[in-house]
Amino acid sequence: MTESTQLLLLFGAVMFTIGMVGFLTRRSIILMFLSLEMMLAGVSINLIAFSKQHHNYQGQVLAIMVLTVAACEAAIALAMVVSLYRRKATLDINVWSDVNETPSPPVSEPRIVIVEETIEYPTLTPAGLDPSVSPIPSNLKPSDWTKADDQRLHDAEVSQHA
Amino acid sequence: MNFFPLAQSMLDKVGKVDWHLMAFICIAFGAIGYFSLQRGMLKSKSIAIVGVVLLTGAGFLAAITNELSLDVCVFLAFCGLAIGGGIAFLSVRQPIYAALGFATAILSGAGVLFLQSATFIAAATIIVYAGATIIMFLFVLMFSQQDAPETYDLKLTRPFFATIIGALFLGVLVYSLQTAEDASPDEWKVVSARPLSAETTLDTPSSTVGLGRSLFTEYLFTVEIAGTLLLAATIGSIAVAQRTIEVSA
Repeated sequence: MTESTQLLLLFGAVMFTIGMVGFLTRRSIILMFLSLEMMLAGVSINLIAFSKQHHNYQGQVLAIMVLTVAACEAAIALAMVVSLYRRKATLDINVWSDVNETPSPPVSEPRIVIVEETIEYPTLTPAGLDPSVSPIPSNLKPSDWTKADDQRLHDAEVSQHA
Repeated sequence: MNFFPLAQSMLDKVGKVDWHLMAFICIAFGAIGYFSLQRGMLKSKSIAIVGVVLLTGAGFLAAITNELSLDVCVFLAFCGLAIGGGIAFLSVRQPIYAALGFATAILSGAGVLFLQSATFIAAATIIVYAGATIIMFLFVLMFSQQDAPETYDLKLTRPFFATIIGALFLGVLVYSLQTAEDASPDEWKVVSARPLSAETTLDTPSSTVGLGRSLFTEYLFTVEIAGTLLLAATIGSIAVAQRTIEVSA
């Protein structure tokens, strides 16, 4: 490489880095956009340097394309700045930080969530005996069932429904 | 152009010094200076005074020794002006002064392109960027017409990490430039796809003629694509910026 090309590449790199640091640090939308334009200018200087190095027009044609894209980007960015400013009257980019993507749930987790809710069923008039108040112990074997148990059960039912 | 005969002679006296080492030191000092500027440890006026004194001293040195030719001086002056504008764009807090620094950097960059005999692109850059920058000025005046600067202009997002990232990036670029310089010249002898004809060389003022011929013969499809892109951007920007009409229910 000739020294001229090297110096131009260095200059383009410095311009690109200045634009990058500006884009990372600035919080105003307009100044971030200007930093982006400065990065594009650095790239365009690089292309011109290589066009000069190789003695043909390919780099210059590419630089014209970069210029075109920069013009399109300027138009759309200005329109977006206007419409964003209309929503919330500020140029702060942090105001719009809630536009970013919400973290998606992990895949292993089931998508269907079972919601436990208490359901009120229609109730009828209770029949029989509530087992919690039954006088018969729950571990009573059917072979030990006597007539006295029948009578005690009947009395408890009657006293419950009374 | 004959670059740096002065620096070359000085280097010959000192001995062989890798220029990328000096570039790394410059990057480190610049990163430290930028970060301390953002932390408020330095005032930007003192930095500006030091920079102006250094640049003036370098210019005097170059003029006294009378070894640099005029085009090299103009080229270096444009480079310094562009980088100074970029640093002002980074460090100044008022948005309108930042826009002024941006305009300085871009116009000086166009001057550099003009010296590289890319006259059409220099003119187009001036037209596009100057127009865009003037509209940007209008926007800044319209949106931020306050007495005190806003908090989002004063407080930056993570200047420490941004400084480190920028310094590392620039260091890697300089290192790769150095390795490209060290590579054998045969590796860099790229055969151009279509070498220029004799009547339109890049160094003549009529290089615009060759550029136009190349654009509208070889790269005609690219030009069409670019035109389509411009049309789509026009329609899109009109659609985005349109004021939404309130529909009464």
